[in-house]
Amino acid sequence: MTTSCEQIQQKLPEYWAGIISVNEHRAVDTHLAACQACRNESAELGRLWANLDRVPVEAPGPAVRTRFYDMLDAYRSGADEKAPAAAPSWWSRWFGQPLPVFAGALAMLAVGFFAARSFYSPPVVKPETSEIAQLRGEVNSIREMLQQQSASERLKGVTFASRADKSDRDVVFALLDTVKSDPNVNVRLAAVDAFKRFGTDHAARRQLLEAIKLQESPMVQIAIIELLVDLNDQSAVKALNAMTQDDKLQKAVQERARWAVTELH
Amino acid sequence: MRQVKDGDLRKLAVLFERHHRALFHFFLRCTSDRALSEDLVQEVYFRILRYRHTFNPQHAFTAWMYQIARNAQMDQLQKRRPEVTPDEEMASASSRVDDVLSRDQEVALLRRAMELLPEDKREVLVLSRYQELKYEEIAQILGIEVGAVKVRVFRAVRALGDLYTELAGAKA
Repeated sequence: MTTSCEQIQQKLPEYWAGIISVNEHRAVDTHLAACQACRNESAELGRLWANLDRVPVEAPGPAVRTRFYDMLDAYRSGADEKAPAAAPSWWSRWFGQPLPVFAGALAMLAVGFFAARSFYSPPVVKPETSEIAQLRGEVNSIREMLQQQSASERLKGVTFASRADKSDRDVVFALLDTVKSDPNVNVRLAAVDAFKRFGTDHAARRQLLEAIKLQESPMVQIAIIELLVDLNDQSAVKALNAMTQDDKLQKAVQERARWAVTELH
Repeated sequence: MRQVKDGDLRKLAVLFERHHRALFHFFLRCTSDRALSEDLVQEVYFRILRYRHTFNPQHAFTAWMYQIARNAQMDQLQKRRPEVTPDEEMASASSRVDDVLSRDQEVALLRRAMELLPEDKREVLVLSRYQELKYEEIAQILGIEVGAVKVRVFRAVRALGDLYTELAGAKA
């Protein structure tokens, strides 16, 4: 039985690559020995096939890895927030970081928190006065901490803010300022997480929604979108819908906005 | 991927470390656009997370990943690529060939010939030549029979040869 040229041609790439079975290899050899046209074409294209190895290709840049881990981190924290038994997402995010500065910040935070509690609770003061003083002191401390030069100090401020009275608008808007303008993406992300506690404030939620467009980081944008879903903010649907078509936003952000619209409907 | 699907999202890092270079090379060879290729790698892993529930553990992860990669690339190219006629492409490629001939004429011509291949031919050639995929996996990625993959790969190489000859003739 004679194998047709067309049947042989289909086998040639595997033949050149050396991944063909022994029987098929023999069949190709037999055909090429008998058919000059196929022999010439196989020789010419086989050389081209081999030379494709010589076409260099660049390695991906280091930013690819960084962006991936940032994205995974942000996504995981979003997923953790949805799981009722999960730890607070800012905690898991920072606890997972290898950087000693964040471990240090957490340690200092724990020490600072307990020290602050004991400082603001002297037994000789009436309970009411003590609470007010403590709250005022904490709000002032939060404001100051959110304006520190050190990112880890600002991070501590965010953490204190997440424990503040949820009706305290000073804290709410200090957090919003952090979300909008803190130079460190990690502090902004932590501020978004902390904001969850203050989600009942409609005006603040509107500002949070507007903050999406001010962000350069798609991670923060996605974190805000996911928070709006967690807060079940139906009034955000129109703006989120517009984001799905906004070419200034990254594709991943548009997709998350699309997902959010579906979740909120 | 089964663990990622079951909720252990950290395991995606293992898949990233194993496949992201090959994925980046796939995009770079298909698009010749480094920044776009890096964005597309990011997009693929985001989609893997987003659509992890749709992964079927009975199928190869790589085939599923490249299916996502193709879709992501098509979405991007539809958005970004302006209409260019083949003649304009050829003129543009020839002028760029002049720039690099002194370095390595043959490789430069081959690279330009790859760029000029129609997208479907370039894609099947990259999948079969560079991505270390079995023909069965390529068939799954493209949604066609294995026999059809073999036909397409040969036709792509032949088209590449024609373009290469044409470019070499234009240069001579």
